Amino acid sequence: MLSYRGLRRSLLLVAFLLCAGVALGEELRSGSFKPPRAAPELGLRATDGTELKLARYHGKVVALSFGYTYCPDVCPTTLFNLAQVREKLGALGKDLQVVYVTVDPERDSLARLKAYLGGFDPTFIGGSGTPEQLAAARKAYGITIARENVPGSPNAYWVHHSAFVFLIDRAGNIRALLPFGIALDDMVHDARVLLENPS
Amino acid sequence: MIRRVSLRAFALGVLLFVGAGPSVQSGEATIRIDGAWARRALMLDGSGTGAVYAALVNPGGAADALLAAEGDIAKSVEVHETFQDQGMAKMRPVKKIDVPPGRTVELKPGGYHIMLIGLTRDLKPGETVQLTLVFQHAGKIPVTAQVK
Repeated sequence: MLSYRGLRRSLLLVAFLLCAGVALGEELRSGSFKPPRAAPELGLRATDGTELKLARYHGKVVALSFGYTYCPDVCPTTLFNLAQVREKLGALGKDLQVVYVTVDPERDSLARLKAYLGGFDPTFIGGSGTPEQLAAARKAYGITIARENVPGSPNAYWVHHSAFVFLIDRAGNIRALLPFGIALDDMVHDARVLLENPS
Repeated sequence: MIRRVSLRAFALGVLLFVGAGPSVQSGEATIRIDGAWARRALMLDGSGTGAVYAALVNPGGAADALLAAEGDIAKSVEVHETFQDQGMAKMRPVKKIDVPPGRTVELKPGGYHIMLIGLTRDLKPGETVQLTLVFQHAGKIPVTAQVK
């Protein structure tokens, strides 16, 4: 006959195995990196006045994306969704750090980027740097950009750019690539999977 | 007299032929705008951008098209489209958005949208934005978009 302690231990073990099973069976819905690869480090300036290094956020899940403040549709869609992901994750959302790197340093000062991101979520961190530093960051993450003058507006231009979001786990590995247009529920799902698993 | 009557009959015949059905509106173009919303945005230093989305519903029997949008919410209000090209999300202005009879065309994130360039004020959740959409046949239709 099982003692109370023994029963308790068995139940705990079953509960643990169940949780582990759920965790192991929980697949990412977006493109996943198998095996995970270490997220290339950034060497940029952050909107909070510090140096922007991903190492700062080890222990958190990072959602990294690229864009610019003059972008009317794509970038705000992504940022709006990321703000909603944090909201929907509740307490877990505190451990999701959004990092947004400009593709338009000419117009995006750190102050402007900070104000812009604050419109979505004051915890979002923006990054900028010299054109060379930003080009290196884009190269490391496979981001392409193309500048185009806005037809009929001689002083305005767009910076077309790759618009996906990288999810980097708590250990600093790239785990998922969220394409632009992915459903909000899927974003929440994948962020939760990474947040609930240590690495 | 006879000429007038026959002209009317001719016009009626044309109407019946084009409309083909009892649901035909009496030649009047009808467009309904459903669920208009704007995303929250900051005016920044007057160079902030925003976007308005809505469903353009054409319950009538005649084709129509969105030609333009107007409003004092931004220095410039334009009809644009986002599209994917070689892994990049790109933008371009569109001259018109066709709204075929009996169809609904969605303006939505990542697709067609009304682009607000140079916001004249912040767009905060709970507020509204007044715009006028200009259609080829239905003419000017005022729209109130909810800021989300």
